[in-house]
Amino acid sequence: MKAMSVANGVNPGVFGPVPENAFEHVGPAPEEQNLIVRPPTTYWQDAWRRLKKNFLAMCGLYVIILFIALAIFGPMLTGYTYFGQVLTDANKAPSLAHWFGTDHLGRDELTRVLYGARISLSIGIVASVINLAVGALYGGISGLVGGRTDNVMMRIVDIIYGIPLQLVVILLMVVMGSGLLNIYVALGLVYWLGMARIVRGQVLALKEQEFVLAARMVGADQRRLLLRHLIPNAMGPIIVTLTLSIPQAIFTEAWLSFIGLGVAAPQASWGVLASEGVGGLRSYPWQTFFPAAAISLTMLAFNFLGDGLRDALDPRLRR
Amino acid sequence: MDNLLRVRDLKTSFFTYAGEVRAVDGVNFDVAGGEAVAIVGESGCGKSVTAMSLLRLIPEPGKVLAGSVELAGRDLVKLKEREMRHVRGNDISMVFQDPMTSLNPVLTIGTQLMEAIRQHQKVEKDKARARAIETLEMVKIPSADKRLAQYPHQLSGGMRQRVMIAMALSCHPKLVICDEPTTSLDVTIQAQIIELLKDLKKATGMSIILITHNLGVVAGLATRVIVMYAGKIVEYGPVNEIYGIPQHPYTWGLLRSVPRLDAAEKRRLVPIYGQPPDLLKPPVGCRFNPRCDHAMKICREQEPPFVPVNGNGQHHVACWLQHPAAPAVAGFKKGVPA
Amino acid sequence: MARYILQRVFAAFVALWILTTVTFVLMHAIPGGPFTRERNVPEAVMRNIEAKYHLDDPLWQQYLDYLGGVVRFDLGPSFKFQGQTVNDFIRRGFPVSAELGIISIILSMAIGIPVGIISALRQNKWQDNVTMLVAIIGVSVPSFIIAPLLMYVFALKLRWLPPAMWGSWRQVIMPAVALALLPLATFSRLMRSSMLDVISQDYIKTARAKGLSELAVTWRHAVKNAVMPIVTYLGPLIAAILTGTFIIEQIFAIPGLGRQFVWSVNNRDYTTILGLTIFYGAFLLLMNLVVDIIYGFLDPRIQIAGRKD
Repeated sequence: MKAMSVANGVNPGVFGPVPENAFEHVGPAPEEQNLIVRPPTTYWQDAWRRLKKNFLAMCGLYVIILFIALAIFGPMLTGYTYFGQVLTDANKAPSLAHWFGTDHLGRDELTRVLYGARISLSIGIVASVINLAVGALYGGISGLVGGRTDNVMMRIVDIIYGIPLQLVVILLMVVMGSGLLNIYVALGLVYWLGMARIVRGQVLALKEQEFVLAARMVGADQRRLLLRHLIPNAMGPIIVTLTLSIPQAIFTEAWLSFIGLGVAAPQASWGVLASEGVGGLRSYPWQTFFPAAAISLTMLAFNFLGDGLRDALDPRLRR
Repeated sequence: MDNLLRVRDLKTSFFTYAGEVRAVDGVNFDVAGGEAVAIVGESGCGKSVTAMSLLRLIPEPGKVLAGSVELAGRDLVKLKEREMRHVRGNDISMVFQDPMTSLNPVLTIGTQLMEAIRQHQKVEKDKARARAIETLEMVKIPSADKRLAQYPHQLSGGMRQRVMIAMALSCHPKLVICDEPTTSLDVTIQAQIIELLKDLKKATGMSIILITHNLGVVAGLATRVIVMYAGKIVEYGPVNEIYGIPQHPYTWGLLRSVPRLDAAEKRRLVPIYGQPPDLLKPPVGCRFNPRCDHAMKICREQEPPFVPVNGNGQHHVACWLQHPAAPAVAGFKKGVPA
Repeated sequence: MARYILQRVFAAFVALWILTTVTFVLMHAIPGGPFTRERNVPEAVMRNIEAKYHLDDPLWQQYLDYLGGVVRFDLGPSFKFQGQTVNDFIRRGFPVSAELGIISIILSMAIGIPVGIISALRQNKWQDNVTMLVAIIGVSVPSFIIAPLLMYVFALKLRWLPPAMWGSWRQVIMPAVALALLPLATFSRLMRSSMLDVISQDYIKTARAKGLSELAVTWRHAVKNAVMPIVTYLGPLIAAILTGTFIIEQIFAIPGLGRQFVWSVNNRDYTTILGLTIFYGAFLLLMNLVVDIIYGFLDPRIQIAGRKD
């Protein structure tokens, strides 16, 4: 146990020259033990950083913002109304007076497309928000209560899942008749199943975690637990689902318009405009082109953003 | 004994968005024919990456940057991918940690066993089948011929690990790398698997590299131990010396954090405080210095060289405490006179 | 396995029953519909409907009769077409729609799945980026927009293909492509992410460590596992193709069941709408059932879970 015994066989030459006081004891470096080289970032900051790096997703975001702005302010700026008919101007090709041309009743196509943006976007957003409310509540309760309730509630979802929902929407629209409000209701009430499943899955996973136990310990009731603790923590997947369900709703409405179940005239969604245009495709292609382009661009923008959000919000990708 | 495997200055890095992570940073070791060597260390210290580097199976964005891996005189790092494929499973094979996820769930045991045999030995189907049954019997799986038609989920965890071992042995490899082969198994099963590996080593004369963080597992199988920390080897030597006269403070820490039933004196379990460093920016000097109770000024400045201890030429350590001028540490015999 | 299939069959029947009940309820809720006694329909049609549905019977009796009709696959007379039954429409239109649908499904799988695999194997390389960009456009641009576009370019401008109608193979191309694009793009996206998921699994590492060639690893170990979740998409795919035919048949003037359905909607031929809804519902449930059973046979884990019970 004597220090500096040469007999231990270690030749100091192996080590080479050392500076003075080299062997002064300093002990562990506690401040360095927890040194984290990467700057600490919260979940949302981290997600935002990744989203910002995703070029296509950011393009999608900007296009969506632009379209929403156009939907709100656009119709006021064109100098025409969506219903004003000038029969002498019917089926005019795009020109300086009518940038997108006119339809078969001489209505300004640009104004109608901009006004259609209000309708199509509002359908997408309202239907998705209803989905979110119904689905998150249903899935949240199912996951939180668990046990037999969960079993029954999920079995119900499974069975409804088997029913082709497009057909139910058509039936509802046939019975209720065309109209914006009816579309909100039909789409909102039918497409919440996916959201319910996702929220339930999240809640099941989260409710076993410590912070939920902690919340229970301090006496949070079930409602508070669900609304304040569980759903906010399941926000990532919820936002992704929501973003991807908006284009889905816009698509479904356009598709309904094509089979004659869209909003009532003279109001017109993009779907209605496009389906009206198809009849005159040979002679007046712009009547199909502009609303079709608007639908496609919006769907594309939401899909880009949704994909980007999914990548950005998926913590498994963090490394 | 000639060295079967000679690893020299092996360097493997991962190129992440945050920068280069040097997961393995200049590692040297040998494995003799018929020898079992253990590589131990905490998770994230580079054990598994070392193993995967030997087989050149580093996933993106990782890369073997430098060094040589000589197997029976042939440098694997320089081989073409096609030649390397013939080494994998044939000369060197691997047993992974989790038998639950390491077997393909949609293929039968037989298919998975036979494809390796047929890949390397170019034999007929019934011959491969016979060999598959033979290896299953070697790893003591009852009613082996019936197992061939079964799927992985029909077997217990221990059985699946035996299947993994059978698969590794099926082409008579010279070296089997076992990456935490027992970690995900029950304790009783763990002992059986280690016992099995020991028997198989004796029966086949193969070498084994055992990668583990469980020092209890090591003693049963390996004859030599390599201790890794933060991508580097800090100490290596015969298993009895690593246990009996460990020289590196990190090795002490590892040993002290293992409960032992046979300890003569009453011992407290002592954890190693802190966490392994982020290899994006490893500490200057000795990589263990931020967590070392005995850290000295020089440990923060210069990397310690390897020095022989115990005079038998087998036990080496990289630690400044070995320097003749370093102060003594209570309860520790420096270098241990021969 | 038997139990697994039984469970699925049972769930399908429950779903069909719910759908039938919903349609029955909605039928009776339609103002001016066939089951309110408003007689502004041709007398002959009304007699037909009365004879069929016994409108004087109590509601529960009518409900049971209706269910019985559905079970016997008798979907009743048309509300607008004298002397025609819904079954007639199905006999005439369904084979056409089925032909179009099957061609589209084959097209989308035959192209979509290999594209997804290649994309995954070239992850983040240019091949991947380009195909995924095209695929996301494919899922974003609806078929009812692709169809007029194709028609405008290939039929009206270039005059390579006939613009509409049904009969020759040249008339199949455009509607089949328009229908197939969305599922094709979806297949390639799903297949890509499924492949990426599988490639990172431990058993792929095992397969590589065995010294298998990259082709064997990809084909035998990765693709087989990765295709499995794709099979579950076949159900929704068939639904998408089917509802796609509503519009595509309309645009290309194809005499299929989809066009019949849209015609019924536009002309408020209520009994036909309801009959076809039930038919479509039953068809999709059957297809989902078939897909579930195929899945059960493909995935050994499900077979065994059933056998143990």
